[in-house]
Amino acid sequence: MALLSVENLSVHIGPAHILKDVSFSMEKGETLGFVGESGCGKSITAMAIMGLLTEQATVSGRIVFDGQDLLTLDDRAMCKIRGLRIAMVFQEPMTALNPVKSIGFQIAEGMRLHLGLGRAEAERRVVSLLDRVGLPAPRFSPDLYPHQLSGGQRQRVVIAMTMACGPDILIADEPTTALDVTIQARILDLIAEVVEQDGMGLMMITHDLGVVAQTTDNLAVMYAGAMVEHGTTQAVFSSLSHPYTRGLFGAMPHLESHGDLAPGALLPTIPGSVPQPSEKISGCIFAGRCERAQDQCKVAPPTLTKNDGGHQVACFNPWGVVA
Amino acid sequence: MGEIFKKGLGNRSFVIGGVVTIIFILIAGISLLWTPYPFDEMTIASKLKTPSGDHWLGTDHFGRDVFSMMMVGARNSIVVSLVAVSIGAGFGIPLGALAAARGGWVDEAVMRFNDFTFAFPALLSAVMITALAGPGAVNSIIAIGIFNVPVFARITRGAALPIWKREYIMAARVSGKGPVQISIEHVIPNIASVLIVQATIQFALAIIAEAGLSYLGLGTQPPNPSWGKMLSEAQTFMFLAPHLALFPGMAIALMVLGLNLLGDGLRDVLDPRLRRQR
Repeated sequence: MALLSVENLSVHIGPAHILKDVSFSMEKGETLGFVGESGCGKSITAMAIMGLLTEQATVSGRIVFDGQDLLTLDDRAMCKIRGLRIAMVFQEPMTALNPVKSIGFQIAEGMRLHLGLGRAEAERRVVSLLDRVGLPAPRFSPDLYPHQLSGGQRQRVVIAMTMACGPDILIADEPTTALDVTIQARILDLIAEVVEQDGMGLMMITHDLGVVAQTTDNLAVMYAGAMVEHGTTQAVFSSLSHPYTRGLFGAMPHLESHGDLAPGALLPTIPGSVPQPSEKISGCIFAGRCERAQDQCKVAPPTLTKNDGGHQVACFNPWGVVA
Repeated sequence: MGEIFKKGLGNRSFVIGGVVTIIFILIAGISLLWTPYPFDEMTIASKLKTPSGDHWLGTDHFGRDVFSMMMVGARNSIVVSLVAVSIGAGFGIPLGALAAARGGWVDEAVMRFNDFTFAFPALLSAVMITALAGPGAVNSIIAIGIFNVPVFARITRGAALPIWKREYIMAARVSGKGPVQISIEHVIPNIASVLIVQATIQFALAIIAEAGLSYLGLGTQPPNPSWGKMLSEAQTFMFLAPHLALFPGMAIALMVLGLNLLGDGLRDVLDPRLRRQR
């Protein structure tokens, strides 16, 4: 049985349909990437799993983690899962740490809460955790405060915090967006290393296709709150079946030009913009911006179906299929 | 901590306010061990004396030593104000933190209760409470304390709300902490500077309130001296012995000025951002 399986997860906030029937599952040790542009529901999915959506949100579907449906648990029970079983790395290491508490306190707080460790034992573990994330003693003491560290070092502290209780799943919500490129690679390496050593499942949320290619086995492409493509990273990248995935990929600058992009030519873009979450769209949500849209696409939304490449695509007229 | 202290030495209002406050607290402390004369010793023969070598600040109409009475009065004022502010902070801060953490109807209930309390002029209501419960130091502490509660609740909530939007609070929630623990360990330490400054200013207001209540005869009761009571007794002899009104009046003004300067200085020292916003 899958460690985490999300079934038909939908989120409404007021009239807005934020997340539309998202389903996926994760095994222990699996790495799953979520890509899509801003506001497509990547982070909402993560927050729904954590049970930390705003109170105005209505959630339906099932989020089964280790045999329990997380949506049926009360807050007290969820507190025992957050941090201990499922941990999360945030986008902005500058603000994810409390400025008035030492990093040692912040790394230890999960362990003292969940594992009931005493001060001395927690402190000992903090030092070894710091060492594991590449902040060795004596240069990096647990008594340092966040303002004494650089952005990359802070993100390492955040990763140490999430590792502290040995969670089964690590959710990384754009962990490298706020960091500069050289640091990004190192942080990604660190996350990959930590995840592999501890056999955690990794849910990597990003809008950077490069990050996904580097770190994940499987990939889900999100668009306007729906999952439009889902399969192994390799299959998704090699076939680029969904027009949106292909558009995303085309809109990314490459060193060796893919296709026939002449030097100096404009980078292709996806025309139009994402529909408002409150808009009612009867057909495919991407149809308005899709170059391959047909009459059929405007009538009813396509569902995720397995295509030839062995992965799921929600499109009536995907690339790579002879029409 | 040492850093803050060093920064404080460069701030004039912090230094002046701090020195004045410390002097008053020292005088109050010394009064426990020593006063020039027992504060309640009456020597009718030497009544209404002007300041001299024997009686530094003169004597009142019963021949009591004004300086000794002022020393003990400082102690009474400080103790009443300190306890009252502690009551206000002790109830107000948790209430405000609760309102900020819970939001929704809890927030509404706490804040509307605050508005209700705020709607009454604080001193007037303190007069009402002491009039109902009977005069005395303890009742004036309770009366002043009650009206400090909404002040602290409101400022705590206001300062805590933006903190709750910060990502490190989300990080704490993600690590499995409940709202109470997050409030204590993450929110309140981050707004401590605002609360300390407010407490200093409330302390000054409490000194005035205590003096006001005593002036009306509702605060500290005889034979215990208090600045406010000395002021009201001196009123009768205003033209005969003006120094009797002068010294307690000056003490109240100085103490309040010192505390306000200290509060202002503390604000600049602890949170330079607030200064720019003014």
